[in-house]
Amino acid sequence: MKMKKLNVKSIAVWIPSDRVHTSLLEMGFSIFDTTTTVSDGKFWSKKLFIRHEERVSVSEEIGDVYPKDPVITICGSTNTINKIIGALD
Amino acid sequence: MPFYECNENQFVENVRRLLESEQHFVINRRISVYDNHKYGFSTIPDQEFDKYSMICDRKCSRHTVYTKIPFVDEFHSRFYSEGEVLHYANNLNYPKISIPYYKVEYSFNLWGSTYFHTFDALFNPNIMIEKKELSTTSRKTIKTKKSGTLIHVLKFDFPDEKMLALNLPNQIIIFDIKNMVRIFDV
Repeated sequence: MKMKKLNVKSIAVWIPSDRVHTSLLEMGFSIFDTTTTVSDGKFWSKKLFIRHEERVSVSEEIGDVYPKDPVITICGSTNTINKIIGALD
Repeated sequence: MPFYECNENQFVENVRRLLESEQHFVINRRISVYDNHKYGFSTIPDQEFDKYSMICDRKCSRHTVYTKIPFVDEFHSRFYSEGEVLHYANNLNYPKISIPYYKVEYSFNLWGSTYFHTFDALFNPNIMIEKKELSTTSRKTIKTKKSGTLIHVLKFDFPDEKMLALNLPNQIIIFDIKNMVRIFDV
């Protein structure tokens, strides 16, 4: 099977991570795993979504912080990246 | 040689710009395991502490943490009795139980400058009841001579390799390295 050319894109959005998760699940992605990471002195809950060879990670800061701006890193086809960005607008 | 630290968003976007400009570059990645008391039960946020709430308790973040039940920390081969302090509020830098983690460092060099992004991935707790052989004389170490007892056991599972990776396309060359030597021009 010929592999699709994958591109990369990282965005920080001002919408709740639940909405991001729902959009990804509706697009056919499934949750691979969740782990806690620490960077910039902050704790993040990192969820990895996978659909075939495409991967999307959603990292949201843990705790009572406002505003929440989850960081979404997409490794996927141009079409997938556009669809995800479109769904989050 | 200047070093520039990036967050995940900045690092990935910088890589994307380099790819679009058809620059040739290599990304270095260093993954190391640490268990150096950097993360303890008192200083982790509530959402992370909830994973340990079966065995220990605290009033809130940065308060003293006590054990709720006796348990064995299998990773460090130690036994803790009920009511024992695991992390003192007045000694936050030295928790009795250290949460192990992977330190992940990504970097690339461009025109003499190094751009890097680092993050720590905490090991996931896995608490279960098991039959363990405990020493009655020394409660700090686990011996195999005495009779077995059912007891809670705290294990630490390392995160999956995919969770340690930044989502980068397969055409990017990533070199795993052991160490990076920084040379400064005088």
